[in-house]
Amino acid sequence: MTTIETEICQVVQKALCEHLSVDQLSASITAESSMDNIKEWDSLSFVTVFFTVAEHFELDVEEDDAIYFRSIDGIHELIREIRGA
Amino acid sequence: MQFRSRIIDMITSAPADAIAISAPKSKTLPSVSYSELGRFLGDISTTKLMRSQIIGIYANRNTEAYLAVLSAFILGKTFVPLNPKFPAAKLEKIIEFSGVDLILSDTKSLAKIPDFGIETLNLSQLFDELSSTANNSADLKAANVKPSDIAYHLFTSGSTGDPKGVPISYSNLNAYVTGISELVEFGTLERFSQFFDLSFDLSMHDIFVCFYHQGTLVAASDFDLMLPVKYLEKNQIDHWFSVPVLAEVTVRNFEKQPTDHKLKTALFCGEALPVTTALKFQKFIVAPSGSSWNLYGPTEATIAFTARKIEPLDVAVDVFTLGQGFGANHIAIETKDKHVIENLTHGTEGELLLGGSQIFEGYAPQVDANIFVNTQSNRYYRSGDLVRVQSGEVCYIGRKDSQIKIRGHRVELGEIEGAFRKVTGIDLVVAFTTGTVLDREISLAYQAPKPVDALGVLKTLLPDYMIPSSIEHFVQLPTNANGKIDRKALAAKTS
Repeated sequence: MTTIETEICQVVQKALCEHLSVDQLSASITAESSMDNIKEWDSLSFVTVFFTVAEHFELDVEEDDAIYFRSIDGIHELIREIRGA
Repeated sequence: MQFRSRIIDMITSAPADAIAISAPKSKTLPSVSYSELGRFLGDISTTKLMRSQIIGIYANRNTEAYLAVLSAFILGKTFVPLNPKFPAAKLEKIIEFSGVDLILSDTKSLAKIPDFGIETLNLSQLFDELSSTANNSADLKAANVKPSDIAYHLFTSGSTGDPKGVPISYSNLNAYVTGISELVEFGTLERFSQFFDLSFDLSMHDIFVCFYHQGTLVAASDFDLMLPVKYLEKNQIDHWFSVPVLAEVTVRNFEKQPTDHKLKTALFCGEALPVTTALKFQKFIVAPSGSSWNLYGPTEATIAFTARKIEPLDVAVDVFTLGQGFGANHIAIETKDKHVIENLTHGTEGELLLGGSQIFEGYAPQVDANIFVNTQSNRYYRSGDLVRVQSGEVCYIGRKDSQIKIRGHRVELGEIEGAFRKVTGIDLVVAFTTGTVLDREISLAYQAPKPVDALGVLKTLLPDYMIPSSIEHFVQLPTNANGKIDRKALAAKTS
């Protein structure tokens, strides 16, 4: 995993744990994690992930960008696009 | 029928530029004005749809889906929602059971529609052809229907493993639309949310109540369901209708992203409504002059049957009561000793019975079940819900069977167990739920010498909301003192 991927995973993991007030999730967040394979990452926690990630990485996001926030890979892609890297 | 003629009047008398349908995320048909809608529907009888009896609709939460519903409605045909998200095997059963003889699809879904061996029309194309004609929408007329003719045929989860068909007549639908419109104040030319898939009967409220009031129906995309505050603000929604879990998403969304936009009405249905969620939603998003309601009703009783207005002083209870029957709906209770009580008094407890013109005539195909109760003056549908009367209102206690609700969808746990048995040949399997009304999940546990991998095949048989979040293998399932499978112990082990 690249440094940025590791950081995204940590932010999402922290957002989900805070959202649920738990210390750990049913599975660790990895580069392959998404709403399809992390049961705590659902429609209720989506809002928390969306705003926590946007705030942490200082992303100016629109609601149309929500599609990227379904997976670690998607978030990574959005950050790459915004930062032009 | 009152609601059919009024909807026609509303379409033909609307200001020419008034928007009937708005689907902002659609690439094919983002918006349809009332004049375009009138021209399209005015000519619909000249198309192949006229020769069809049962129209399948392979589209969801978009302009094409609503046009298809209105086409069938104007022609007096029966329509059957074929949710593109459902596995092909389930849709094949629905088509077989309902007798669909023509399918309408949107352009996007058409590219992936399974081969059902039935003629399929592209509705966007049909719309382009018909809405550009010189036809005047004033010519729009609805075909005659008998009150008992079937307006739509929906399929719910069935404990046998096959979907259970619920035909709703034009008369049933008329009773609902007129009844709810007397209860809740909807104005004309206002904007209505549309969150439900077409296969979920609450979508019929969105569509028919909206056009009954000359409103604009605003399709929500999948991502609008995750960030609903922007959806209602951008689209200036006046009337909201959702399951309670979406109200909770909205409350959380609002806390991160507040809006000044206020709703005129908010309606919730599909599962128990937590008081804290409803009161926060009301405070944040409903105008002080507006109103919020908790609705209840099974598909067999047409969309919703009882209503309870949400008041700011409702803080003392956890979830809202079901309220009382609205319109001409009446309720009774069958007690444990099989007495039917029609004059309900405080403390009466038993199975909730529903009577009146919203009640369907029976399952199709027929299901061998004792679903109706007759008294001297009324016929009632057995809801399967256990209730208690408190201060004139009906309070939900639980279910008589193993039916549950997941995000508003009705699920028979037996259907999931049946699918697992079919896939694996393992008989000892039990489906159960964990979590609260807002985060309820289905789990499955089975007893076998070795673990099996069944998830992939289950996904081809069951819709997403019925797929268990965990499947646990046991060499020996836990049992209680009576030797029965101990569901509580299972829930504790898997949570």
